[in-house]
Amino acid sequence: MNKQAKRQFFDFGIFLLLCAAVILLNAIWSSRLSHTPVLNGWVLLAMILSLAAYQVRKQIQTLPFLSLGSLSTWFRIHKYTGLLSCLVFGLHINFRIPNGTFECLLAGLYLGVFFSGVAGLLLTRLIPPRLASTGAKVLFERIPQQVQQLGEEVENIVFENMPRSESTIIPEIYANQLRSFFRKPRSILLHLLQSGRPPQLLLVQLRGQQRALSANEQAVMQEITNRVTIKNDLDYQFTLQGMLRVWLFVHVPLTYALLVFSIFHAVLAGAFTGGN
Amino acid sequence: MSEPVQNPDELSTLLPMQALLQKRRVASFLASILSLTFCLLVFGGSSTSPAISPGRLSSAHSAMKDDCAQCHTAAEGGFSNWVSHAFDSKTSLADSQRCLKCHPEISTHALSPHGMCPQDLFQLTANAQQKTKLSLSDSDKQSFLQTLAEMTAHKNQDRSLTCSTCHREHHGQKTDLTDLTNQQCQSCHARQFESFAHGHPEFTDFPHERRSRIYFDHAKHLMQYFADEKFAHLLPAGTSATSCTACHQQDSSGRFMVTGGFQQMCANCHTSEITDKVYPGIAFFALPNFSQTESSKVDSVQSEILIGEWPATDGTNNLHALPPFMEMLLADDKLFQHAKQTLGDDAPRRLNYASQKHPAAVEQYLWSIKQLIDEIAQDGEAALERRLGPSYSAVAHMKPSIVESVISMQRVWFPNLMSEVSTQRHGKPPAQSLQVNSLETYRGISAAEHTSGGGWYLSKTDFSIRYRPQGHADRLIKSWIELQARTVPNTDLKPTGIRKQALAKMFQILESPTGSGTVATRGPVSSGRCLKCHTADDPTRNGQLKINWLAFRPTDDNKTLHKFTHAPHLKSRKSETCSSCHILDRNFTSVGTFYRPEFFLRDSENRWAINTNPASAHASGFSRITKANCVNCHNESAVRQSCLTCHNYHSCQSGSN
Repeated sequence: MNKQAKRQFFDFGIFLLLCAAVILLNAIWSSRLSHTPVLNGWVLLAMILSLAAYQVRKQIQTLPFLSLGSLSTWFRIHKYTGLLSCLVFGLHINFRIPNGTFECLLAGLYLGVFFSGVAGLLLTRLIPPRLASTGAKVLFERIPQQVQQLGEEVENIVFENMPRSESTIIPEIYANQLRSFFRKPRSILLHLLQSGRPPQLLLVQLRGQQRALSANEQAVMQEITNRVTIKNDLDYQFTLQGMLRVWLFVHVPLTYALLVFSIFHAVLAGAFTGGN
Repeated sequence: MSEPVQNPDELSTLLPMQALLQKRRVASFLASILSLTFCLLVFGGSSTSPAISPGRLSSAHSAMKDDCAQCHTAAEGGFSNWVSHAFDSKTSLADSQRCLKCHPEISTHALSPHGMCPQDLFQLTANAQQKTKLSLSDSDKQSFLQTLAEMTAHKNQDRSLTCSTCHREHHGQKTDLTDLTNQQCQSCHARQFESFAHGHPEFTDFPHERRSRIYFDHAKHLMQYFADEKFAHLLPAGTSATSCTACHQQDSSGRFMVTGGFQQMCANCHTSEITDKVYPGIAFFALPNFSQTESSKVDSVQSEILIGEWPATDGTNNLHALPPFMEMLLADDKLFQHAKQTLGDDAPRRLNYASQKHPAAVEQYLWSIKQLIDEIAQDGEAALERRLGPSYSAVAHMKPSIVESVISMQRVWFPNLMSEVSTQRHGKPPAQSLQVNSLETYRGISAAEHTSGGGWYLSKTDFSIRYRPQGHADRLIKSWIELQARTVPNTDLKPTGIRKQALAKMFQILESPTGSGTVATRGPVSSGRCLKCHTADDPTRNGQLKINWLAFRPTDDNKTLHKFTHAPHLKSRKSETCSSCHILDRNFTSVGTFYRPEFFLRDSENRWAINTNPASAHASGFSRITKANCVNCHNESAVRQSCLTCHNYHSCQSGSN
């Protein structure tokens, strides 16, 4: 068992212990005259705040006189606290659908944050190996520039060879298919589904034209085909790397909404359970 | 030349990815603003929004629907009000007061633990701790959960408990608001245990944590009287000597077994004991023993004692002290009090001898009594009221009135009293001392005045006015007992000491369970013996008594910490009878044990007096009921055994039935 596996095993063990502790504590509260929903509600709010603090930690690199811990440690805590919060949430709502509109929205927000977080966790587990398998190291932020550059190169190739061309096949293919292909990422969904179909279709179509082209035109077409393949690989990278970023568009804004709703809910609960 | 990008959307996709973070921040900001707006719309009103619902109300409260302010003080204002209530620990107490508006039946100390006065609860706790000092046996060991639970024990024992501590609303229509688990009940208790069968303390004096209101010796009645054939005809009609239901019937709730009244249950045997026709009754008025003849034998100066007419009381069984009632009437007569001081408290028996040394005092003593008789004969109850003073004016109007008997006394034994008193008022002594032939005059009085079965009569044996109870619940005797019961020694309306002492003497006579406890006379005189059966409680030990004229009656005020409903127990097991649980204690009744210490005590003069402490345990002739009686059925495998099966949380009083 390597070091990382040992750490994951340790983390999971701690997580299971905490789950047991939460269930036991809830059982004790329920067996007493304690306001169990109020108490586990406070626990849940504390967990939500600590989960949200991870976003703040990402913004702060260091603090004077205080060690914040590594970001990876924060992520480990964030991950298991998030999972544990689902158990506390279930106990808080007693595993029932709430009655009021406000309470339903609050529960929906929590579930949205939780499941987007779980989805993010899965994506960070599944996508990196797939990206690594391509062998290419592409910076997500530079993909648009590279795609634009490829588009410009193809356009130049087409226009430079136009006077020497014996037919209008290549310019027509460029105008009808390649121009739009190089303008933005294509076949995102198919890439996400790991389908090899989109590049194959276009490449087959380009290769099908080879017989109608002269030798000079075939050489030009080969250059274009090479760039189509590169663009296709960039699309794949863009799709997968984009997914690693897009889920946060759900997770983070919903977290802010959840915090606002939770604070109002806490005030409401405090006022109507008698200031307990 | 490259063709410029036409579509702005397409352009945006090609911008550097730094914009993603910015977009996410914008999205987060918008989400926060939208959420805040929504919450302010929902919470911004002056009352609660229908968009908020913590859960359905129970069916008991379902009529309230959306009117949150009926139960929640926070609902009376907007969000700022909620914030202040959320951090105010008194909010729940204010909410509980709203509960009590609709539930006034809960006792005065509704928010104290068990609805009891804190002092009572403290005392109860101290008693319980004393009883359960024994260590837990192995079978009584606590469960792991209970041990853990004790670590988080409720620390609120010394403070008020709110209604919501136990009653949790908004959990649906079918929720039973009174349903609590055993662990929840035990949250506040120092000693915790697993279940009724395992760990519950043994009963100490259940069901008789206090003595019964009416003293009744079951063992003696069932084993001696009812078993004796000669008493069979005296039992209530249709009654079997061994049937409990002959005297005890279920009340309408099925909870209690209540008894009938005196006429139905007791009169056949005990009426004669109350009227006691063979005994003379209680002396309220009496003439001292004074004989002109006897006086002259020992007193050469007898001619100086000028008292006019005086009946021939010589040789009669007169009292050795004046009756308390007369002492009350003569309390303000300073001349009499001076004479009494000179002659001593036992003057009525030794006037003849005292006349040698203190002729003036004897004369004054006798004259004061004659003046008293004259005054009452003339003015009736007005004279009594005048003589008794404002504090005891009620005595003057007690019925039946003594006035007619005093008038009779005057007519029989002092026929010329009016003229004698008139002469004396003008400063002239009576013409001469006369010995009235009382017997002759006495015969002149109608028979009803001295031979009636009860009430006032003149006693020729000791020249007194006596009263014999006319039957059960005699008005006059009851009034006298109540007068003393209401008189609190330290808070009375400053009566003279003489009257107060006299009243206490009167009560000594009336409280005597033997009917022989007069101050002056040892021997049976019959007082009605009310307090032989009717107990007098002084729970606060301040001297004010509550006379239990009636047996226990189920009312709302009888709600105690424990409950037992007879009906299901009698129905569920036909083979079982009352005696399955109520087992006669055959050692209970024996010679000399009738005067049980929980009811009667010896006073300083070794005479029987009532015990006014109601907390005395009393099994009423039965063996103590033990937990084993109940555990046979109430255990894990049979009938439920939760705390609430046998215990009430809300108690209106600490005693039991």
